[in-house]
Amino acid sequence: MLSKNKDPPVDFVRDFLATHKDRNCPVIRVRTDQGGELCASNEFILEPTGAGDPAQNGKAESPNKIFGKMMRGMLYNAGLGSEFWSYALLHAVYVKNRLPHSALHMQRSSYEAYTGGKPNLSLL
Amino acid sequence: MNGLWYATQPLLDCIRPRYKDWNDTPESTIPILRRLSKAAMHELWHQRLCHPGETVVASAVSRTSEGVPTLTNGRNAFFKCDACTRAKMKRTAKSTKHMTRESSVYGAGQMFYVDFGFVRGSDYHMKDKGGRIITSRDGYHS
Repeated sequence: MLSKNKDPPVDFVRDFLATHKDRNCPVIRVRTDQGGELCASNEFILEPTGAGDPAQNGKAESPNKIFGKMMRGMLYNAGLGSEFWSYALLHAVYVKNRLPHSALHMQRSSYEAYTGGKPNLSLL
Repeated sequence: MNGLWYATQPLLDCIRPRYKDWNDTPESTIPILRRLSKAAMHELWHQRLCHPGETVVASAVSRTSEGVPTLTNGRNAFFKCDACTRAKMKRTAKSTKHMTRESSVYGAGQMFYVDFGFVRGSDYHMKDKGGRIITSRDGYHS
């Protein structure tokens, strides 16, 4: 799901957080950057970063680096131009969700932690 | 027939009776299908999984997911991969003014990285201001 413009997908984030409240996972605090789009809702405690310091939001910023590397590696390897970046990005997200995660001690993938079943990568 | 196989001849030539007596086999039917080596399998899955590091390809993925073979050998794919090096470059040179030749380099010692910029720290203590750091693909510095 890539949006055509740079408007922040506030409704998408709000729905995502609301569904995860129902999954016995009480979302209490949400760390954001200084965007302030979520400030209108009183459902969550917002913890914005300090002004001009996006590094405090490192958990959300590091995927920008990781997916950028995966995306560019795939494009270079396939010999494709940079106009195919969106397809490569969506595929990188698909694969990254199914790779073992270091926060899960490299024993499980994010897919398994979320759904409970092992991912099938035989069709890659 | 586990593993990946590739044909060295057109596909119609491959469809032949396989379990013949070796003496009766004419010369044209000797090994048509070849199996991928372990190093090649490692490199293939390194590319399929979007160029992850060695730990993920070699040991972790086969445990955490289905459909991926156990890849223990052929550990050099991560270091040989040219796309991994180029993936870290967010921008590439637009002008080809300084580029003498299109090159694609594989192998140790064939590529050198030279930084013509200011080397902070060394310049403060060195009278010779021409100190540069030259790095090869192997990691040797000078």
